Amino acid sequence: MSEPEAKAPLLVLRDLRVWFKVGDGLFRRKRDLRAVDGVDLELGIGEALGIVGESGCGKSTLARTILRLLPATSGKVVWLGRAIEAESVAAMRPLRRDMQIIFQDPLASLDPRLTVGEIVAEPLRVHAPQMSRTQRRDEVTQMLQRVGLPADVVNRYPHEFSGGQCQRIGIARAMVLRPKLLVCDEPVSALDVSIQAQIVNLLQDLKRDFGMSILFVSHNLAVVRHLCDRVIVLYLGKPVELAPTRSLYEAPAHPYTRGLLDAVPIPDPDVQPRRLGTTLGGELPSPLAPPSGCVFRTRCPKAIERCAQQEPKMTRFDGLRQVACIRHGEGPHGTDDDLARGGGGR
Amino acid sequence: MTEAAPAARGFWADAWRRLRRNKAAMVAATLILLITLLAFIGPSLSPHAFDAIDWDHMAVPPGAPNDHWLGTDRLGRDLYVRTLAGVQISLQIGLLATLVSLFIGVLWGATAGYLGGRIDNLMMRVVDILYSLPYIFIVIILSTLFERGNIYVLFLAIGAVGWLTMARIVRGQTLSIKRKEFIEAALASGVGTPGILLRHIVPNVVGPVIIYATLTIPQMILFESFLSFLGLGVQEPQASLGSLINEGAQEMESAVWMLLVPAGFLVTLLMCFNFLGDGLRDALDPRDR
Repeated sequence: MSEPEAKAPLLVLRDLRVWFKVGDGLFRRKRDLRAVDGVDLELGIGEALGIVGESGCGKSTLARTILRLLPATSGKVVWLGRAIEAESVAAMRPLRRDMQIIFQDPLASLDPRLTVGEIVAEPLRVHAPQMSRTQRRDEVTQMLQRVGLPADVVNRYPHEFSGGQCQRIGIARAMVLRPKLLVCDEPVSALDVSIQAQIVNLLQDLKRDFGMSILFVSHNLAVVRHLCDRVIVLYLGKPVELAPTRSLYEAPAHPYTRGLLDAVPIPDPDVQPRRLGTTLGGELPSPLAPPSGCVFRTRCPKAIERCAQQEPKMTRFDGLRQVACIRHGEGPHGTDDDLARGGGGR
Repeated sequence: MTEAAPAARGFWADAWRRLRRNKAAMVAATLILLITLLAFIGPSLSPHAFDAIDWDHMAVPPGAPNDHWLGTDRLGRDLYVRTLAGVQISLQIGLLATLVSLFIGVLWGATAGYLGGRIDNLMMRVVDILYSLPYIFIVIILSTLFERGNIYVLFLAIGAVGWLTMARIVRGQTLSIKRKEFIEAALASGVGTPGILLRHIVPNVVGPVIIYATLTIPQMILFESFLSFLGLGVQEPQASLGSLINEGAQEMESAVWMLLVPAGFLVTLLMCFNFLGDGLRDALDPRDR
């Protein structure tokens, strides 16, 4: 990649939509499942962006579409000024060295028949075929040590390692090419809490040393807060709020964001009961039949009649923040009413 | 059998350890090894050739005071040598046909399963159509196309038709493997389709493939015997287990050893391969026990 683009954002999404056709199609008409439905986003170089939301809100789909592991239905994915959403597999290959991914299930993401050394060396084999065997081995052991594994693991197999160690192996594979973007798809949600912190700290260290951007998909708000500069909140495939991490956690603008933050358990029996009224109720509606107007209105404590008719658009406020709620900014009790928010999202 | 490297207690070392604990499978493997050795070395221990006629000893039973250890057939040919020559041919044919079906079946199934969609549909419909053709007619037609007696060509062809089940097994396995995250990781690394198929999918289906292959060898041996029994396979004076059993069956009432000797070898081999296949299934796929 040439340098003049350095000022431009690493990645831009424009009205990205990913719809899946579902239904058996033989007797019934196939229907569209709108997994991602109109996401606009810019990711700066070296920025860490969190993507949060409940299960099934399209977080992982969005991550995979950015990497072109899934095709976009419409909209644009612009990588360093180049639209890649329609690029062929062959045209994508050279770009892949700069965009890597780590997965939720660390063991499943490692081929059980390959040794750790072969797994970590695979990106090198694809993107640096000119490298000699010894060079490649040096790169691999160096990266394994960098992620906190001893060099002698190269001859062992994935099933011999714990979840946290497997995730380190996955991170080593992703980082061995020094990518510009690391997509993390729920990388810690399958791990023990003590291990989660280690992995998040490792990611933070790597980001500091290698300066890559991070897209961090998670439903764990505490982890996102720790690692990310900005956060986008998705609900049923639609963005509902996008804000710098600090302001989002301190003053969530969208009722859904507030609900998510309130659902974070606080280990304090005095605080817990005071929040019960504000936690999210109900179930996520089917993405096959999303509600009209605002998709969140069926669970929104502030929903009014107008919410069923008018689809809210992401609108800027406070400079850097965006929210999609027609009731946003309706006076003092519209956005920051003082429903007991207990520990302030800590 | 290969020795397992103790350093990396990988998948194969584990499987080997489990297989070694399975007595029936180990006995079967040893017997197969012994019979194979006997089939290739045994004939040279006897003074007789497989097609030499001993005019002084026709249709003598085993144990008679002469050097025909397992007796002779109606034409005075040594039954011990002929049976071992038959075992040789049966084993070679079983292995050859299995290897051919393995090669085609694995590549076909993995490609169909991995690519999916229309290509998968097309490839598997080809399999369905071949399945529905009567196998035996195809073989009879093939055996008339090739010169009679050239059984290797014939069994190359049989292997080329016998890959259908293998293709289905491999496709099914591939469908489940391609959803795994390590395939996605390889895609994200930019590994191309051939690389994913050969480096990630085929090694991961190898367990069921080995099991099925071990069970295919006896099928192929049995099929060869069946064809030779019908007179379509091995031609005189060559012998296979099937043709020997055919000859023996005709003398069943007067000289039962002519039937029992080759039949004994056939049954032993088939049982051993089946036990070994079962053992391998347990060893390679411990979840299914």
